[in-house]
Amino acid sequence: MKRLLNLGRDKLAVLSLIVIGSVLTAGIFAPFVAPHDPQQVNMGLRYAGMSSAYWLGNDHLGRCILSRLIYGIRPSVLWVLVALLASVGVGALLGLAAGYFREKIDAVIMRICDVFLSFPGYVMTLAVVGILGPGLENILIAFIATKWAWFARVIRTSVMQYAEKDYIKFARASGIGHVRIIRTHIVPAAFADIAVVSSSSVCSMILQISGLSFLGLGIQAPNPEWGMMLNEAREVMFSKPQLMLAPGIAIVAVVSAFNFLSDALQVALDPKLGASAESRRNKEGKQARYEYIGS
Amino acid sequence: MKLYTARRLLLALPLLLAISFLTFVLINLSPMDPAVVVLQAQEVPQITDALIAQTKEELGMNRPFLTRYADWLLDCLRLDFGKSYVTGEPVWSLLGPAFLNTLKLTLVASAAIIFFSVLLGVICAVTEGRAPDKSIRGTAFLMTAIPSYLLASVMIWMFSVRLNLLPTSGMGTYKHYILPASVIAVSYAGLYFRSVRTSMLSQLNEDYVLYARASGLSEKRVTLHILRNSLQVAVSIFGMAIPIVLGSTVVIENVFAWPGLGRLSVRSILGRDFRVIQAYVLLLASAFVVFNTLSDIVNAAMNPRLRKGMS
Repeated sequence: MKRLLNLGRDKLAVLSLIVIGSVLTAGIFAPFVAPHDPQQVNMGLRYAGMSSAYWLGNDHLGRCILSRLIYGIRPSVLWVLVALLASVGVGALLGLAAGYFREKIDAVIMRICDVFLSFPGYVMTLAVVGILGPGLENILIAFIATKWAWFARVIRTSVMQYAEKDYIKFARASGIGHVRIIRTHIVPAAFADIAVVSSSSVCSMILQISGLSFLGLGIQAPNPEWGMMLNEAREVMFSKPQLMLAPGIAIVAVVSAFNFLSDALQVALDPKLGASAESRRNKEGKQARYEYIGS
Repeated sequence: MKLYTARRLLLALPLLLAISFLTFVLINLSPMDPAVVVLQAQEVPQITDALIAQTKEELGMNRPFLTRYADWLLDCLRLDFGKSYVTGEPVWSLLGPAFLNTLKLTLVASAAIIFFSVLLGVICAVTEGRAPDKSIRGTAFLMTAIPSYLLASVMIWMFSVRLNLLPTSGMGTYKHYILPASVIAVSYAGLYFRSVRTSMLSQLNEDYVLYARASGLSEKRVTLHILRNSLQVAVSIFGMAIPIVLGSTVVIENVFAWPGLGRLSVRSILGRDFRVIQAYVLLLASAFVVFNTLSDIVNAAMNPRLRKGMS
C-alpha cells in the first residue's frame, strides 16, 4: 500500500486520476449532473449547434448531446469496470488455487484456461453474444466468461514465484492453514501483479465494448452509449462530421487517462523498476506482453 | 526438430477437439429454441407446439446429446455445416467466400504490421532516448487510446470524402485494401514495434556487437547484424498477429463494408442464425490453433533453445 503513494509523485498519474475520478462521479450521479433528459426527442432542434441551453448541441433526434454523453458513462465506463472486477475476481480465485496448490488442481485449471485462450478474444465474445442475443448485459457476461482465463494464468505465474519461498514453507510447517497463508502472505505479495494486469486490461475492454455497441450488438437504442453515439454520428459523417467529435474525444480522453494510470501503476508498484534506462526497457517488454492477448 | 514438430502437432489435436466440444455446448446453451428460430425465419404465421415438435424431429434434435455432437463433428470435418436457419443456403457457401476475403485482408494487414513494426522498432532502437524514439513512442501510446472504428471513420472522411483518393467501402481493386489494412496496421503496429525495439536494445550489449565494432565495421553494418538477430521477434509477432487480426477484423469489416467473416458474423448474430455462428466460431478458433502451432514450429526451427523445453 505504501508503494501506491509513489503515484502521488507522478504528475501525469495524478492528472489521470482526477480525470477518471470526475468521469466516474459524473456517471454515478448522472441524473443530477446532466442538464436534460438524455432520451427526450426534440425534432425542432435537429442537428442544432452549441447553445447556452445545450452546451454540446443536439443530435439527429434533437436530443441533448451533453446529457447523452454523461449518461453514456454508465455503460461505457462504469459497467466495464464492474465486468473487469468480476473477471479479475474469478481469475484471481482460480489463479491463486492453481499457483498455490499446484499438481492436479493446477493441471485441471490450466487445461481449461488453454481451451479458453485458444479462442481469439473477439470470437469468443461474439459467440456468447450470438447465443444470448445482443445487449449490454450479454456483452458483459461474455467478457467475464472469456477474460478470466487470461487473468487466472497471469496471477498463477505471479503466485508461483511466492509459493515456493522459504517463509511460506515455514508458515506451512508451523501448521498455519492454507486459507490463512494465502490471505496473509500470498495475496499481498501478488497484489501488485494483479493490479498491473487488471489496469492494463481496462483500456482494451473499454475500446472493445464500445466497438461492439458501435456494431449494434451492445446496448440497445434509445439508451445512450459512446460507441453507439459514434455509430449514429457515422451515418451523417459526410454532412455533419462534427457530431463525431464529442463522443470521440470522450472515449480517447478516458482511455488515455487509464493508459497513463496503468503505466504509472506499473512503475509505482514494481520496486525493481527504478528510473534507469535498463529497467524502463524491461518494463516496455512486459507491458507489450500484457497487451497482446488482451486485444 | 522432427520430434518437436510431432509433439507440437499432437498437442494441437486434443485442443481442437476441446474447442469443437465447447462450441457445440455453447450453442446448445442458447435460451432460444432453434426450432422456433427456423419457423420464424420461414415466416410461418402461427407457431404451434405440434409444428415445433415436427421441426425438432426434422432437425434431429431429439437424439442424445453425444450422438448429435459426434454427427455434427463428422459433418464439420467434411465442411458440411448444415443449412442456414435463415436463408436455407448451405452454411459453407456463405462462410467459405467470406473466410477467404477476411484472410486476404488479414494477410495484407499483417504484412503492413510487420513492415511498420520493424521499421519503427529499428528507428526507435537506433535513436534510443532521442527525439525520434521519444516522439514515436509517445504517438504510439496515444494511438492505442483511439478506437479503431473512430480512426477508420476519420480516415474515410479525410481520404475518401475530402481528398477523394480512395474508395470508402467494398472490395475490388488494390485500392480497397489501403484504408482497412492501414487502420488495422496502425492499431497493432503501435503495440508490436515495442517488442522489436526491446529485442534490438537487448542485443546491443551482446559480445558479438562489441566484436563487430572493435573490428571496425561501420555502424550501419552493425545495425544490420543486430537486426538479423532481432528478426526472430518479428517472426513470432507475425505468427501471433495473424490469428489475432483474423479474429478482430469484425469492426473494421463493418465500417468498410468488407464482405468477410466479420460482417457475416454480425449479421448472423442479429438474425439469430445459430448454425452460421457455430460454424464461424469453430472455423476461427481452429484457424487460431493452426496458426499458433505453425508459428511455434517456425520459431523452434529458428531457435533451438526453445525446443528444449518441450522434450
